Amino acid sequence: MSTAVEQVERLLNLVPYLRSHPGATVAQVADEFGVSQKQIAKDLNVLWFCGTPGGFADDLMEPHVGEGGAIHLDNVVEQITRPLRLSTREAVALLVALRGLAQVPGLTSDRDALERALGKLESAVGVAAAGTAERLSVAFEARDVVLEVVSRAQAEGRALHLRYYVPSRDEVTERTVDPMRISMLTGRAYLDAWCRSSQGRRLFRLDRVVRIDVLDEPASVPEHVLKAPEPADTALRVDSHDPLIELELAPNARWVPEYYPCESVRELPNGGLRVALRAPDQDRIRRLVLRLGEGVKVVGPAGFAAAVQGTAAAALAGYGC
Amino acid sequence: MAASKSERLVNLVICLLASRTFVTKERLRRVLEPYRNCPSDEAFERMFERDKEELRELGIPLEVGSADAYFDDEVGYRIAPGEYALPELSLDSDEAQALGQAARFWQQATMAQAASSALLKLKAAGVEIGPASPVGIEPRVRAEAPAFEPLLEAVYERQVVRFSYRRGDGEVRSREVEPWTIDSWRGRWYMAGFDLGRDDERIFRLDRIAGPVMLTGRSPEHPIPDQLDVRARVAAFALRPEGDLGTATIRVRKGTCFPLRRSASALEEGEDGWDVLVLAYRDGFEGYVAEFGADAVVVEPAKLREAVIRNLRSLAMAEVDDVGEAAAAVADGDLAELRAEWEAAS
Repeated sequence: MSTAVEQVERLLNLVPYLRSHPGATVAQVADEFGVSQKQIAKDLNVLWFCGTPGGFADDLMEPHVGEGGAIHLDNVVEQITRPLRLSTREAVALLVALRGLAQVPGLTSDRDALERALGKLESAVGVAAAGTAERLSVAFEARDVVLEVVSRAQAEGRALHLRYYVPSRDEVTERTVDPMRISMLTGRAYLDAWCRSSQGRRLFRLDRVVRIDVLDEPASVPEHVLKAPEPADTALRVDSHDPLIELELAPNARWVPEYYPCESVRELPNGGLRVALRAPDQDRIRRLVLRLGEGVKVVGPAGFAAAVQGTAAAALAGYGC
Repeated sequence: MAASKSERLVNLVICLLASRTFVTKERLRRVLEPYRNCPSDEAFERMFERDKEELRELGIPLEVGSADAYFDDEVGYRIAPGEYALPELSLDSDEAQALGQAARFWQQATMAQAASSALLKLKAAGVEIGPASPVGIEPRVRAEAPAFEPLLEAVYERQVVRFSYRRGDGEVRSREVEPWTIDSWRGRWYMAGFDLGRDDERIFRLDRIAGPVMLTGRSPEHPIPDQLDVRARVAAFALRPEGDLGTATIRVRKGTCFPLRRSASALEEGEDGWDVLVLAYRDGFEGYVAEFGADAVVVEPAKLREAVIRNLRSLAMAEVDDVGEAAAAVADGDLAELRAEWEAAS
């Protein structure tokens, strides 16, 4: 879209926005529309020349910027006081999301509101867009007792006690946490919580919760944590100082990069892959290699290869080999 | 000159919305100053054609019709207010919050952008949507597969697509497909459609599409079946269980192998520092046991026992260049915190 067309799109939203938000400041509007304040000032200047055709000055709109940047739009043209209807793509994005959210398991209080919103939006966007939205869907895991317990604790504002499995150490840890948010990413549910035991905000994968108890005491997330900005997508935070582990995967182990974040993936002539993984936690990769067995060859580093070999040899001893 | 062009387009929209009848080009040229100022008929024609295109690009429903009741060839333009404007939406505050949550749902760029521009229109219409609460359920969806975006485009534009597809066994072949639905199950995306080469319905995993997805420009010819039926078949494909091979008995060291313990149907506590588990096992289970190294030993069946031994042998026999570094490879205790985070996330 050209800049002029983008500006027209914005102006057609701006007029109704200013009408429904009289006194909104240039800063607020810039923030809402995702452009600079300078751009909003330019947009307002265009409005001075827009109005009912005829060409007389009193047919044109009058955007005034007052004290503190508060905008008042006078002489609004009746024809454009409603925003443009949603495009098919816009409608689809919201409808599919609402439908996906409404069937999230463990959701109790919001489901009704989601369904009502869905119904109203569907009738507002028209048959064609609603029909296209039917062709896209997002489903979440259906059976999860843990999720139900967590959302109950959340609704009641209570703390939780978790027995939580850490696979890299093959160990179950005990923690008391104050639930904040349940995030569902890539088909998995995580509990985003303040962990009292480690005094930090942590993500817990719900399928690794061994046992969960709702405590009588109220949840209390420290004020500074609630106010802190949303942590960036912590999901794939990997330190570039961690050693890079290189593996050659047989064709039947091609699924690995679908589940493990790889820094590089290269095709091999035999139909396999050569991948490089970086993890603070070599145990995790070592366990992956043990699982793959004949489907993998460790390229390096040598220390890692030796650790794998040592573990395999120790395990074989258990079989008398 | 961007400002004057925007000004012209906005005034054109207002003019076409304001008129009940179709407005002829000639009248638009008389009424709108920039058109009036065009030096020649050709210049005006060019400018007006481009302006019409740009209004359509914005999704503004520009209608063409007869401007004169007596002469059919007198063509005019208008925008029907009912088609142009977002209909009145009266939303309760919890419904508005739900829409806010829906707008944060997508992490995939195109969908996220479409959702937030939709939200802006709703806000412009006066719908009050507050910020996200720091407490609650916040499901989000990624669509990392590069095939997602072109397939979405093909669904919107109703086009046949062509792409290379790698099957589970590694075979790669070119496919031509009429896309029906795009669905996500357990975080993975699937496309169901009519495979023109196979002359039958097929389900594809988006992460197995190799290389670019080409839109052919051709329209689909086969009718789309009921979405619910298609979706049910995709679900069956995505969630199909792998068959059990039988029951295994496994010795596990005390305090270890929690995932194995969790799926055990029986557990017998031993006195020698080991417990004995009985559990149903599936194809590929040997890798799952080998993962626990010296902490898990298969007692029976013999077939599973041999498979684990074979798995471990291939690793124990591997050539290693430098054994001296072995100790360094063992994860450092100081990394426990970082590890927990990474672990939780992956």
